[in-house]
Amino acid sequence: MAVQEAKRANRLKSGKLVNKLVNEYWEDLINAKKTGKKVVYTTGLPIGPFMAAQDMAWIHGEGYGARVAARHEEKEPQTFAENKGFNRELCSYARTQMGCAMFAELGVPDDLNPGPIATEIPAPDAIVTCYPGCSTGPQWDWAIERVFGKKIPWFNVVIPYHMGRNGSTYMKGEEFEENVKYVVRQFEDLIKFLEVVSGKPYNWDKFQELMGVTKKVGQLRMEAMELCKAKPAPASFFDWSIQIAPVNYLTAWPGTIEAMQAVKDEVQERLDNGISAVPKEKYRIFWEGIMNWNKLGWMADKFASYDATVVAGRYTHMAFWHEPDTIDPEHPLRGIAINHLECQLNLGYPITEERMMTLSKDYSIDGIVFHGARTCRSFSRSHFLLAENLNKKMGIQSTSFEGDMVDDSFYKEELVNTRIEALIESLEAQKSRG
Amino acid sequence: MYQNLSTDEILNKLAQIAADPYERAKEWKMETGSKIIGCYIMHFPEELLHAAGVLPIVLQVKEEPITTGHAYYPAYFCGPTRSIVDQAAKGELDFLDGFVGGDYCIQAVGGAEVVGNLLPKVNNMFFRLPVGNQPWTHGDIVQGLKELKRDIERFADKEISDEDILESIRIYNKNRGLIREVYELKSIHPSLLTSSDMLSIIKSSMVMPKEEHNEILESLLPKLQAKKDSIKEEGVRVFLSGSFCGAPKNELLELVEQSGAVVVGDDLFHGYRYISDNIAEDREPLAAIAAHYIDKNTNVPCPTRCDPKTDWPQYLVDSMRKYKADQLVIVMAQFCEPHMFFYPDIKDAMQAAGIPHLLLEISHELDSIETIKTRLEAFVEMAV
Repeated sequence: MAVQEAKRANRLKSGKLVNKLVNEYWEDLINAKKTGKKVVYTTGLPIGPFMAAQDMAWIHGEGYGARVAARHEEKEPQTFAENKGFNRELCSYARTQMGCAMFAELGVPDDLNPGPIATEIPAPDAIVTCYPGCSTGPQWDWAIERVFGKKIPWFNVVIPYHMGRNGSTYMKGEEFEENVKYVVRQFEDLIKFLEVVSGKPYNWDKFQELMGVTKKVGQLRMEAMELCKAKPAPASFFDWSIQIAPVNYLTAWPGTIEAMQAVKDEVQERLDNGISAVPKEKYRIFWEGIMNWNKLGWMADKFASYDATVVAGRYTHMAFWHEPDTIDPEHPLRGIAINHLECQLNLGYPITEERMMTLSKDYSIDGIVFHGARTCRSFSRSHFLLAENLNKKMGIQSTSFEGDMVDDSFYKEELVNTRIEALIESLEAQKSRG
Repeated sequence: MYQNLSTDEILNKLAQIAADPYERAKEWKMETGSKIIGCYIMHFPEELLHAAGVLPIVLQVKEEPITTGHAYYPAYFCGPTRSIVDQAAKGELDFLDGFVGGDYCIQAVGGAEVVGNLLPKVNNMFFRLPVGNQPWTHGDIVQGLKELKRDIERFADKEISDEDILESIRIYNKNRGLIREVYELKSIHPSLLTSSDMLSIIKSSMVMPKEEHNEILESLLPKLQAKKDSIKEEGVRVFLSGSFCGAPKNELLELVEQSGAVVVGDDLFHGYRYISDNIAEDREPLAAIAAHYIDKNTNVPCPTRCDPKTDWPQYLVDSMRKYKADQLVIVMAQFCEPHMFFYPDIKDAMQAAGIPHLLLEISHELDSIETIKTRLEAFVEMAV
């Protein structure tokens, strides 16, 4: 039987630097209208630099939902959305942001008492969707467009699913090249759209500069994560989840290079000094699924108590400028398209499986935790196949449990405990068999 | 061959085909030695597949409980996608030579991925149908059609000419037109056909050669015309909406009518949505099919298409008036995200227009049939 002692995950200290940037970003956003900035609502992968180049503010739907949940303010907007008729089986990011957007547009009902963050969202001047591998994103943005009376200009960058037709594989093949061209053309149209919304010619110099920053931050993050192939790993998936902001809605924000450099330096320092993310690493786990933001710290300690390091995950390692070398800051559109097209949710099953197998090998994975985020069906769609096939092809054992991104009502703590314990026990048995 | 059959005999024949939806296709395969392609619900150019000499069939939800499929797809995904995965897991789709998926809904994408894994010998194709309605959307759909045409040609080992496609368009247009004639009759004489009859007509059209279905409809229509004036009309006039991808169960449709309602119109996928518009026969065929996707969505808006120029709630209000319907019954498949995103707008539009509506969120297992019955009876009684 696996013994669970009270041990704490040794989380990266430099991660706190990001908090300052996050606060600056939200301050800028909340005051955007006062400073004359246009506000663009976005969902999906990071496209902030497109707007930042035009000195516009942007709000990222999922990032905002996660922030509201991290401050434990998600219940009120979710209740408001549900009262308006939005089913609780809908994406919880969407329900949270929809609730907040409706606070902004319709006012706060007397029977609800939302927190300050849930009510500070400014109304949009435009909506830009850029959602790979998830039909929910454009449908969510369309719902936002309707909440604001169908008056807000909306641009939807269609990111085609990279199925793997006719032998196309990761970043290769006819289908891949066709898709890249298609997305680049749409980005060119997006730029024209932003010129109209902002009322000024596009600032390409600024955009190129920002994409240079994006590339650098992306490289630093990937290099830092790769240092965690070492045994024991100096940092964990939970650290990389916390470090998502600089490569997500904070992409190219001033200070992100320094923040990510500090993270990488700390990881390197730990490696040099034999300091690990989990005090006595015995098992190495892959986290498959989106993060459960209001359980992050709890989950990190939970695995640490079993001497298990969650070293990698599809959420962190297969998206968010994960292919930084494809970005040419002078001609950035192709690189942006590649990073979006080849991200974790947009790949057909055979490509996803191949990437997962590669990561599992590179990070010496013993077991996989499948977190079935109930309202993120994009992520959980291939879980059962992956569990079966990775076990068959690589002998990797796994466990699964349901949860959610920002709606903890889908979470059954005792079930989670039992499932994790069962995985650890089977890994222990496997190791003892040699 | 069908002319000598009575109305009831023809309807029974269609009901049999619909009840066992792949049997006719399998017979056709034996008869012709040709290939069958399953279209993974809900948007796909059947005409293009037909033009290659293969039989496209729309994969159907089966009413039986999901069992084997549980091992491959989570229980919190919609019934239509889970049912098709279940069929593949049980070997019931082994007769397929290929199937075509799309990315309009992530649950359909995931379902097609699982089916592709379960049926490794079946050619797995994909139709890229971009959402939205921008000035470039039509051209983008044409490009998606060209890619699919290329893949079908490789699969069927046959070059598809414009004339082939045009001929298929004519056959499919004829089918849509004939079914619309049935709809026209039913809207004026709603008791002429039950909702289950209408479902059999649509569903059988989806799973058998269109040429044969046209022949059946050409026999059926004059008989319905002859019968229409002898039908006694009574009941609360109801419009049915929703039920994307999968057909509503016959049991549910029967409950609507048993509660004292007659269905005067619908926008179901297994209903008017499937046959609402023809494809232009005087344009370059791929351009015509692409335009069809945009136009039919304007006429009967679909929440998966993300076209802000369309207004589904207003379409429903207008339809209620057009068909002089008293009440709206919304059938929402459990976990259907596109539908769930729209329900608040529909609710608001109905309230603003003073139209009573009932939302029925239906699980695949129909595990609350008594509750549905009670709710329907109470709802219909309001209008009596």
